[in-house]
Parts: sequence; C-alpha cells; structure tokens
Amino acid sequence: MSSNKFTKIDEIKTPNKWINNALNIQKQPIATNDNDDSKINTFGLFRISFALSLTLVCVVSLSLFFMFKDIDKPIQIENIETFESTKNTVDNTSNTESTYNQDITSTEKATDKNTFESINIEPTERESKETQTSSTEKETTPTSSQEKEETQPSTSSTLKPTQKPTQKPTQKPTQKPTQKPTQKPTETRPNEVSSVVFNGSHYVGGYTSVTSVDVFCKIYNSSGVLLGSGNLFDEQHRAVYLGETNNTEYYTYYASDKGLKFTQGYYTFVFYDPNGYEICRGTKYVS
Amino acid sequence: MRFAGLTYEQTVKKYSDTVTKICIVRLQNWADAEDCYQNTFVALFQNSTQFESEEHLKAWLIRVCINECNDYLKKYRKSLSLDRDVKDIAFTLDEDKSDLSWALLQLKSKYRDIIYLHYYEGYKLEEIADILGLKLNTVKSLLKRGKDKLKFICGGEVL
Repeated sequence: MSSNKFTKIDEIKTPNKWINNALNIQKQPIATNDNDDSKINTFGLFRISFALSLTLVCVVSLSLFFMFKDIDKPIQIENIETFESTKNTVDNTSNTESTYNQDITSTEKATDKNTFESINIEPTERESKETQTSSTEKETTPTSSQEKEETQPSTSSTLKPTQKPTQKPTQKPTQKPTQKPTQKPTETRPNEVSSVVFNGSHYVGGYTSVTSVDVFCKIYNSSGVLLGSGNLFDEQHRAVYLGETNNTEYYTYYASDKGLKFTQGYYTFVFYDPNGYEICRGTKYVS
Repeated sequence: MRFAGLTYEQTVKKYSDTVTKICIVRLQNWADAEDCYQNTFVALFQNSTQFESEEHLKAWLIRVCINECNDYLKKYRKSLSLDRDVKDIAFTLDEDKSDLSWALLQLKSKYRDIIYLHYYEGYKLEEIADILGLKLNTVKSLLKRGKDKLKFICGGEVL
C-alpha cells in the first residue's frame, strides 16, 4: 500500500478497481430491491392476516355472547313452569293434607314420629295394615271413574306382596330391613316432589321428603315390560321410603331424576328393600 | 438513467475522487473507504430523486457519503479488534509543513468534515450547513474550534 501514501489529501485518486466496481453496479441486479419488496409483501400479508384474525375473534365472541344471552331466559321460564306444573300435579293427586301443601315442619314431625321400626312389620301384620289402609282410603278417595280404575288393579296387585314374603323365610324380611334402614335415616334430601305419584290402595306418594330411607323400585308398564335396567340395585331404580303416617306407608320414586319418561297408561310399581325383598306393590295410572 | 444531465457512468467518473477523499478523510482506512464508496454509488443508482443541477448532485453525493461513513463507523468500528494489524491498510500522511492534511486527519470528525468541505472542496458555510443538516452558527463555531485545534496540533498557540 505504499502507493496509497499521500502527502496531501488533494493527491488522493480513486483506484480504478473501485471505479470499475461502481460501474458494474448498473450491470448487476441488486438484490436489496427484492428484499424490500418481499418485506412490503410480508408486511401486507401480516396486516391482512391480523385483521382477519381480529375479525374472527370478534365474530366468535359476539356469537358466544348472543348464544348465552338467548339461552338464559328460556331456562328461567322453564324452571318456573316445571315447578308450577309439578306443584299442580301434586296438589291434584294428593288425597290428604299431609302431601304437598302441608308445612315442612309438620312433615318433619310425622317422620320423626315414624321411626323406622315401623318397617318391621310381619308379613301378616303388613297384610292387616294394608287391608286397613285400603278400606280407609276407599272411604276417603273420591268416587270418580278414574280413581276406581286405579284402585281395581291395585287391589289385585296387593295379592302379590303377600305371596312372596310367605314363600321366603319369615326371618329375613323382619331382620334385614331393621338393619339397613337404621344405617341410612340420616340421609336427607331437600324438599322435592316426585314427578310420579304412586297412589295405590295402600300407598300414597307425592310427598315432601325430609328424612328418607333408600329402597328400590321396579316399574312395569301395562304390558309387563320392565322399564330401565334389569339390575334392581341400579341407580335408576333407587326410591325412597319416607316413613309411616296414619297407618299409611309413604314411598316415593323420583322418575325424573332417573331419566325415565312415562307415557299415559297404567304402571305397576314394585318396591324392594335394600336386600332385594319385595316390600309392596301397586298400580298407578299416569296421565 | 440520468442524473442532472449526466449518465451514471459519467457521474461515477466525475465524482469518484470527491467521494473517495471524503471516505478517506472520514474513515482513514482504505478497506473501509472502499465499502463506503461502493455503498454511496449503489445509493445513487437506486436513487429516484430528480437533481436540479450538478451542484445539487454533488452535494447529495457528499451528504450520502458522510452518512454512509457514519453508519459504517457505528456498525463496524465498535467491534474492531485491537490485535488487528491495520498498518497495511491505514491511511497516514507524513508531516509536511507546507500542507496541513496530516494535521487534519488528527482532528475529531465533526471538525474535520467542516474544514475539509470549506478549505478543500470550497463550499461556503451556508452550503456546508445545508449539506450536513446543521445550523449556520453551529457550522461557524465548529469551524472556528477546528481551526484552533488544527493550530494547536501544528504547534501554534491557541488564541
């Protein structure tokens, strides 16, 4: 580089190589332009994609908002309607004052009085009680044509519970119900009204439950076909024994909770204790 | 492609020395000066400005060249290794009492640019202010301080 040493700045001359390189610029395509274009293109694409994603998010959020906004109102209305409809059905079907319209405090008293020792009924005693209650109910129930139809199948069905316990050893029905119900009376449920009211000759359903004992219920339609699963102890068949008041045992079965839907017609309800022994049965016309 | 009535080739040949001198004075390094020289003419080739006159073209080239040198110093001089042997590529001037070029290269760049443009390229202070984008008073004060420092480097007393 000795040739590049100058004593004066004025003597500095541009090397020919530099000039040739500068002149060659116009002969070569410059890549920087393409890069700038690609940057502009990518920036434009980014802006478009950002705007589209923002629009999509807004649309989705708005649709979700309106969807939930629309859903809220019908739910509230349905709740009110179903509650009133169940209340009406219970009011219509209850024969005694101790059903729905009765205060909860009074039902609590009744259940407190009815300790679960009342379940310890000998089959023979049960028969006598059943006949007693059937006679009393016949007196109290209105003499409409439908009610008569309901009582007739139930009286015929009352024969069946008397058969099975007599076939079984007499110890089993008396011992085992006394064990299990004493374990479960602490189970409480909120005030509920069964959607299916069992109003047989000996049993009255539609009861505001306070303290209850779990039993099991199988439901047969008029053709004798079992509703639900074949396993008795399935959750679908779980029912509640509420206690005894005025020589009447109260059972309730929450069909709506089990996902069962009834059509109009006669249904036979067979209640079993936790050991699988039949306690009682009756027929109910469901409208 | 024409720049103030000149083709690109004519422009390069006419203003190559001016651009080279500015690069050398600014960077004091042949290799770095070559890079900035090439970048200056690449910028000219990509430029779409309509130049009113050759003076406008020259002023634009000087301005772009100074900016390229500044950018180059910012980018690469920070990472320059101290172990690097720069003797072969460094631009130095022997002391000559009849010329102050060697003393000019020892000034700071802010004084060097103004003194070079004023005394070597013959620009007026207003033109220097336009080229460098500075206020006229700033150019005047920088020129005065630069001359004082130049005098101090040459062994004279500062007024």
